[in-house]
Amino acid sequence: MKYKFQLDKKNFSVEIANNATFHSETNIKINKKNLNLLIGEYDEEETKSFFINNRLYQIEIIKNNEGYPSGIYVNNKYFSASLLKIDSLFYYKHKPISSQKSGISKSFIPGNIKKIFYNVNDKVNEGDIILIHEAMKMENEIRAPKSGIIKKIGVNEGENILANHILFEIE
Amino acid sequence: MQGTPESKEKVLIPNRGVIALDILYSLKSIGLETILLHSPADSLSLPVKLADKSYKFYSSKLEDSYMDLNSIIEKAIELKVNYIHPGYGFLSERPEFSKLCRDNNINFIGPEYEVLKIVENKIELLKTIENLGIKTLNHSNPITSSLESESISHDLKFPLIIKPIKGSGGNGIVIAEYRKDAIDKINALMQRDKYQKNGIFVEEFLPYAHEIEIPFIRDIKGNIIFLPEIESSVQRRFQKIFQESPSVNVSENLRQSMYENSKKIIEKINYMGLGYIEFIVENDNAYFSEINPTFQINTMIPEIHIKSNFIKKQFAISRGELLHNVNGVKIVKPDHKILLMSLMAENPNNNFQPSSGTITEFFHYSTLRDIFKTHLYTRSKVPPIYDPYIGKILSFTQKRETAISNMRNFLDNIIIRGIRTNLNFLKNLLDNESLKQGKTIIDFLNLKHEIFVKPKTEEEILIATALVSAEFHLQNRKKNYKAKLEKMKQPGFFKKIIKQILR
Repeated sequence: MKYKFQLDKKNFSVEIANNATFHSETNIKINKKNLNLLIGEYDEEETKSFFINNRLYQIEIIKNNEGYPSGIYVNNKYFSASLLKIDSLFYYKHKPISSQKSGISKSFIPGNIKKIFYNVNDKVNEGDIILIHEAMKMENEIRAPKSGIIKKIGVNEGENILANHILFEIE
Repeated sequence: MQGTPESKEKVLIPNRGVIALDILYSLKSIGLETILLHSPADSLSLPVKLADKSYKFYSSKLEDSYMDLNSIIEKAIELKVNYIHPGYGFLSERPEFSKLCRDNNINFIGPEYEVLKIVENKIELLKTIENLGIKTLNHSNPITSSLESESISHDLKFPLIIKPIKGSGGNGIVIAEYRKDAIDKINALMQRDKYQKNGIFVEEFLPYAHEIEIPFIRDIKGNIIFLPEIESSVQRRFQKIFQESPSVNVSENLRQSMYENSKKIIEKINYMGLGYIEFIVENDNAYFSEINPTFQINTMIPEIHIKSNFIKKQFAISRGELLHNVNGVKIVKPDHKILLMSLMAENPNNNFQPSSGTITEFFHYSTLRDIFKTHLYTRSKVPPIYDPYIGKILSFTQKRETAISNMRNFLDNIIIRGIRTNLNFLKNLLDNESLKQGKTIIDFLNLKHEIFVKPKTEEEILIATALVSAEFHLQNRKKNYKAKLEKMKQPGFFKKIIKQILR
């Protein structure tokens, strides 16, 4: 298999044998350099690590919405990553970021709603502080992503919420 | 102190995490029965396992658990405890709590109500200190309503720091660079009930200054022990992440004058017990800033200087014991250079956004002169409600350079996975040349961006590429395999195969 990856804005072409499982030592070729790879541990949800040239690296993959890698933590160090191409079977194209901003705001971490400054049907401008979301003693000011009318508020003051909870919607 | 198990004195600890562990260890070792109050979210935490007894709050909400002074007192009365140790944070600085304890004949381990009342109101405290002839930074009067642009005095020089009059832990503190900015930020804070009720104030902000704390203990006879100063300039969100003692930025003259001024302050407000006086230091001037009226995260630093347990000392003073071999004022000289760092569950590359979750792997390898204190372990959860604190790392030796390199090596011996941490950030911080030279200033992190993004080597990127592609390859293989299995499950699959074979 041949892949093209971009890491930290540099392009790399990668060649891996089709049947490679890395359960035994396998060579992979990156920009004509050979590296020797072996699985250290491979646990679907939690921990993953590989030996490269007999050195252990612990990794965590960050995926985008389509399930493709968008970044990797190697021993806690972050590298942005994107897959440009797989063989010639199909191309992976970056979706252009839509020019129209989404008016939906979601919580990115569990927490507590400390204060809400607006009501449904209020008019707000982009950047106005709509509510205060406290997580782990840090108060986050959640601002309006765009100007418009508040269509919906998905939380109450004092409510404890999980991550990815819809906070409010602006139209 | 000693006695039969039935006559053991009891202490109630309404706190959590590494704070609770410190208190539990110290007070257990002098023969007290330790009783912990904990929230449901902390049911499986280490302090619960180590306390003699523990009782659960019915809810994990702060106001219904660690901050609920009435139900804590109720429980204390019911259990007939002799002492309450509030730890730090939560209720430790609340005058009402100290008073409630006194009214119910429970010994509150910390300052008296009257002292906490003075310390709590930062503006009143500044005025008291100014009357003693001690320098403070220029500041405004209390602000309790929205402002027009002209209402900030032109005598105050920008940048300004906007602070709540009551409060601790860095909440609500913001920096304003210019007049319009200040007005906007003040008016935003004024929309919040709690800031409007207690008021806020502005003070001149010195980004190139150093933050210096003087730890002290005073007994009922008025004897005082002063400990070597602690510099805690390097902060993120006004919480300390790197502390050292003694500071390289304090001259001997300045040190003496800070001790003298501290003595005046402590005696003026008749402070008894253990505390820290905070100064902002620039160009050999020390401006009084505030008083921290309890032991802190950095309790290990004074412990090493004084060669005894700080919490035990605090407890003894609270019981009315006198300081040993101290008549008047004793100034402890430092034998060691001590560094302390805070390991936090947060992402430094995203505005130090906290991260909660389960720790999948946690390990550290101790050495002789590095101490790592944590309440977490492999598989423990970091709940989203509390401070994202993982642990504190301390390194002490004779020379500053050696302490830094020891600490740096020790950080390499920590493995923590499953949640985002600031471990790499701490490593970069120790690698920073300015830090090595001792140029630690209050605005350090805003001026040193290289700490956040360290350039990566070619090899590192190459290896990351190998890893990301290997992982992707494996995932892809797995998906293909699953797709094949699905195909086989479809009706008629084997018939087709057989047909093909027969043909």
